[in-house]
Amino acid sequence: MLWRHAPTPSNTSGLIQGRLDIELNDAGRARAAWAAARIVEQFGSELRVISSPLRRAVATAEQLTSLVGGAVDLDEAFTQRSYGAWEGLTWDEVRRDFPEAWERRELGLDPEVPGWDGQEHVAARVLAGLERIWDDERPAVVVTHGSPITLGLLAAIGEPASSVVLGRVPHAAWVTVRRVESGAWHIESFALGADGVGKGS
Amino acid sequence: MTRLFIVRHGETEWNALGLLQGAVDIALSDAGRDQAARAATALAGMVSPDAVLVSSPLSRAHDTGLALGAVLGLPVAVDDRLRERAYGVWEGITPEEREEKWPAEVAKWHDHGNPGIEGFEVHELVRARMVESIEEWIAKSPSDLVVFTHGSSARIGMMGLLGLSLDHRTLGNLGNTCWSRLRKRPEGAWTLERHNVWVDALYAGWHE
Repeated sequence: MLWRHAPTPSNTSGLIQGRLDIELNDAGRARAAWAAARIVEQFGSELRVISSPLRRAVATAEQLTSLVGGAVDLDEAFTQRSYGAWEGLTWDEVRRDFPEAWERRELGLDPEVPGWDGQEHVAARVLAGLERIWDDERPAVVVTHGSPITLGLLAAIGEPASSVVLGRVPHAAWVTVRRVESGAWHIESFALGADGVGKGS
Repeated sequence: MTRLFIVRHGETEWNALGLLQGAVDIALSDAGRDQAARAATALAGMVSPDAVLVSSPLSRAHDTGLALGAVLGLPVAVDDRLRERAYGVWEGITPEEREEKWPAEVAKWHDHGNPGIEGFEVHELVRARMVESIEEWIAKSPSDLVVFTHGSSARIGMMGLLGLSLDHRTLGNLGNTCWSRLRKRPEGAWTLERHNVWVDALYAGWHE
């Protein structure tokens, strides 16, 4: 199961985080706690909990280990991509100061930005991580970030990184995937936990 | 941009027994009617008030659609192309009988191939009619389109819209009254935004 971290204050204000290590606030922790309870209802409590080393992901994962016990295993394979020189800017600033690169990014291509972590690289890193941790017997919850989820899943189902078949998974929502005998990955559910009643209705 | 909700019917007695229904018209069970009512309440809060509702002609899907139609005060159109895949001679028999009499065909089916048994509607035909129907209805829908259909037809229809190969089961089957949401982009490509949303998960009390 791939679980996107709960929103941070920077997510709310539209700041690009990338490798910047931003902590969750109380609202983010409450959101993660709600999702963690739903995850336990769905999958039970015999779960391995693995996380990107960034604090917003670890703090999300800790809401789950507080219910199921055990420690959070940190794994670099699931960290956020680097946004290079764009980190710490808002998307509006990027659009104003880097119009050509911004346009490429909108088209699903890699922009030419110093330090930018390319799509193919992110996709390969996440898929290798998924293959390494997969275990038929023991479900794992991997707390990670928006781009690694989309790019890793596209690689898992054999689609190019520029494909639009998968939408963006909202903060604190999760995806369940299963690896079958043939080695193929099946998407069993996508973006669960994104439409809680009381939120936006 | 237009959104498509694709909803699988509620539970039937045959679902509970693990029998393939295909073209056989089996009604919702009491549990299935209850599921349909709960899904209708949830979906009514999400879809636009002028949504277009369309269903498979089989009563298990149509009655699931009518539950939402009743809440929204909207009619439910019927399109034969949204029916379930016909399973031919496998309809209504137990999984044990199927495994015993057709081991090679069952293995081929589990490997996502067409098993080649009498009356089985092949993947390509199911995909063609599902995609044709949904593209036609979405073109006529001012905002959201809600399609009530079946396990196999829903999965193959979505894979067809998304342009995914049928060599793998890249999308898992929907549970009873679970739904997916897709969006048609202005240039015509489809994006999967939700899959197998589980009605109980929505009611567990998130308050922002």
